[in-house]
Amino acid sequence: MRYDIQLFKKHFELYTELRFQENRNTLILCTDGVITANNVRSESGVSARCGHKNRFGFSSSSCLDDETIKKVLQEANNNAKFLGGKSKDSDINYYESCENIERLFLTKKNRYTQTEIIDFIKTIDNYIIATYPNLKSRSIRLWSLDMEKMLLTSSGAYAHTMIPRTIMYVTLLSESENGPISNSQVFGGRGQIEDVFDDPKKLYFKIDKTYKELMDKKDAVFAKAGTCEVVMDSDLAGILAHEAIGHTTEADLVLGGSVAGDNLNKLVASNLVTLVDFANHALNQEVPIPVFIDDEGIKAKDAVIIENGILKSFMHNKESANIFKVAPTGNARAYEYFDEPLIRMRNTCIIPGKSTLSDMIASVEKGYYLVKSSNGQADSTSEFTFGVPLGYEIINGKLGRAIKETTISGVAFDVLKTVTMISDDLTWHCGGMCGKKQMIPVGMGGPAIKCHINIGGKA
Amino acid sequence: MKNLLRDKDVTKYCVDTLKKLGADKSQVNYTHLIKKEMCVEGDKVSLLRTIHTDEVYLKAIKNNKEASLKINKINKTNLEEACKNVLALASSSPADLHKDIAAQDEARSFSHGPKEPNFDQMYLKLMNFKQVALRKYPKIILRDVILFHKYSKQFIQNSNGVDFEAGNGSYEMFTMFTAKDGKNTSSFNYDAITRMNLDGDFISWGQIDELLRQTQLQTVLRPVPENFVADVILTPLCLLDMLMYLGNELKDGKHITNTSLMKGKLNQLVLSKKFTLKALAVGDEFAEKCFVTPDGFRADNLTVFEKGVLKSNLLSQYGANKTSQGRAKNYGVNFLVESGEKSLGDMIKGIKKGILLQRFSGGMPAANGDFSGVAKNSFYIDNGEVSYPVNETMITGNIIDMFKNIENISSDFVNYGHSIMPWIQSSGLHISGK
Repeated sequence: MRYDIQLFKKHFELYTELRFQENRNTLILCTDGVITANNVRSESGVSARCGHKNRFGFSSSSCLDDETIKKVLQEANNNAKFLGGKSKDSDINYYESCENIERLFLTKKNRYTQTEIIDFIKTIDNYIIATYPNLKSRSIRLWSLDMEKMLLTSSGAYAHTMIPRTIMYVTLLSESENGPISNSQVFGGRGQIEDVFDDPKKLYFKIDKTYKELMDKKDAVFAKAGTCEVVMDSDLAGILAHEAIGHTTEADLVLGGSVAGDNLNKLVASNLVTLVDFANHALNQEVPIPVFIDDEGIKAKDAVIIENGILKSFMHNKESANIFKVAPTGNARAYEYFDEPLIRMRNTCIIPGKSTLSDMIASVEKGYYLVKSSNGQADSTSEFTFGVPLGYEIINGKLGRAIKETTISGVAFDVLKTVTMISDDLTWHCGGMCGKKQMIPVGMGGPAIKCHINIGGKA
Repeated sequence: MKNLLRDKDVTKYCVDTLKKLGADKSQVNYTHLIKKEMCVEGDKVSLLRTIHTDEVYLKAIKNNKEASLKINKINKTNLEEACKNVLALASSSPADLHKDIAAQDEARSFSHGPKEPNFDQMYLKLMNFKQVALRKYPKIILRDVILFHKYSKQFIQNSNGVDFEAGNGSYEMFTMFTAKDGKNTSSFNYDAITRMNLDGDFISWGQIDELLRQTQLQTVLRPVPENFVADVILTPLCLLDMLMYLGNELKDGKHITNTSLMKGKLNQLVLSKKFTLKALAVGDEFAEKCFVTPDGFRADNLTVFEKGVLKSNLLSQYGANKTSQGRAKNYGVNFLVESGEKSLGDMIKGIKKGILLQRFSGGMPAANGDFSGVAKNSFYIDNGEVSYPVNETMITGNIIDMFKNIENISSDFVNYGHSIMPWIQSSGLHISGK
């Protein structure tokens, strides 16, 4: 990566965003004590996006020499002019700004060597096999991503950021009468590996819990299919905020026909529900994926999506802000150097309430406590689905047997109206990757939520 | 740029450098990709995007310790540093006798598809598609229409003397859409098709025309009337998703962890006798060909299941070595499910109560293959007829059982360019409404 981006401003002709970016990835996979993958991937390059008569041209290259950068700028210009030449529109408002920011989340500790990282993983693996020798299989996957960006726009907005994330996935497998069963736990969050993982012993408590949950799954029963009362743990509330509501309120999806478009300023949820896409700080703490200036050069601000049950606003980039005649919110984000910025969520979170998790479970006569989530999907109708790899029956306010892996679904704007209790705690999850043409790391947060939802099963 | 290398010079330089630095074995893949993309948003082609990417993959083995590394720089300085780094990484790995590289093979150069796009034709075809689609289906909102041409040139060399070149050019069209009727909104629906050229109207590509028609009917939805166990017809796109789950049981990950549901089942009848699945890496029916596997072997066509019998897993060299099984001729590309004898219409007529499942939205199957999820863009089948579009309808089953319980496979099929899929009718799935 190079850092002299200002040198190229004199080559800007149209409205221009010039970005240098490097994504540095480390991936290590340990399967049953054997390091089956030990990979490092580094991708850097330059991209330029130019606007002309309500059309955009984009170009990128992995080469970062002077001549290539000039060629990329020229090609982006030419592409914008090719489309602009066919357009009868005027230029859009580019919301000129000259924000400047430099935020690099670099560790202050000495960097680990690859051998030390592998030793860390092996220590955890040794703990697992020594403590739980009867497991059928186990795997530990470590993935760290350092995303460094330098942005310059024709109006003078400038950003230099480095946002790191380090995640470790631990999966334990065993056998039940009905075949193999598994349970996983995600560790980690924002920061380089030295800041996130400093002592393997700190992971043991949750590994023990993961094993206990796995054993619970040996005798798991099918959930009874249909609508039922559930308490969703905070792990699920985050994905609910992201999948069920978040996507429907991205302005490009609203323009694509999302049901949220017809519900602005209307009651879409219980008045207990407030949902915000936070830019960089939430409730007095820095969020998992802080965004200070987005990839269009707009200062990022929080987007309050639902306030006390009322749908208040959408997430915008410059293009959609022009259409909706509002200010952009700083949600335009790109994953790789060769990606164009799209409207993406940042840190979507349901605000905590006043109940306690134990009171919430105690208040359910017959239902389920849903503990963990896997992949989820959204829809323009606000009908969402996500996998539930771990949950328990609730009978007369007490936890019962584990349930087999299942899926839950619902129409978000209906489900959120059934929310009757929200817990007073908050958990952030920063292991999420959201897919929408490109991938992007996202933060998801929330408290536990009691509501009615549709659950899959054979019982 | 100083010291910039091109084409095969990149792989040759890295293999030579790794040898000089002391690697026992090495493999280097270099891919140069040019992608030119047009995106429709709303009523306009809003973005023209060109990307040039280089990717160099280095694998080095020393003292049976292996590591790999990817960079996207192709000048000597960066490549030499990467060679040093991958060897340093390898030294941090534990020794594993199963790590290896491809054996020597005859040097070959392969080429397939157009190298350059036709920009004006791309633009005109996109605008024409938008006009035709919206005229024919006025309630449709085309959320995304993305058309791109890509041309990739790949060079693969290793220290055993493997030396391949492969060029692939193709067009790909992706469209995602919803229907809106007053305040009623359909689920989003989509199709993705790969072609070697731009022949034909886009609306006739893949299933686009039929999916637009169906989506326009899906603005008013309701759940199924009751919970029941029934037949489900998987559409070609849905079948493709389910094959991904089935394919996972055949790949390295689950075999190495000894958790594959297909473990030890080679040459046994494990699925319905009606089911034959091929992975035609170099099949002429497909828009792209896969000439070389990622680990440096010349790829070839492969039968995965033949009349329900497992004929091959999809194991790489490492997966095969690690589990003492055979390496596959390719690792699962260009899937073709053989068509059956009944028309789709006759299959529907034969179902008293069931679901025409266009899209499955759910969690990954559990380790034992159990899955559940929601039927999207799907219809309730009632007394042999496609009745009404459904929402909030769950489908629960087991991935292996679903392929065991195949009742019919249609004679109709869709060629997406990247796969060829018929409709499959499977019995015994649990359907539940609200």
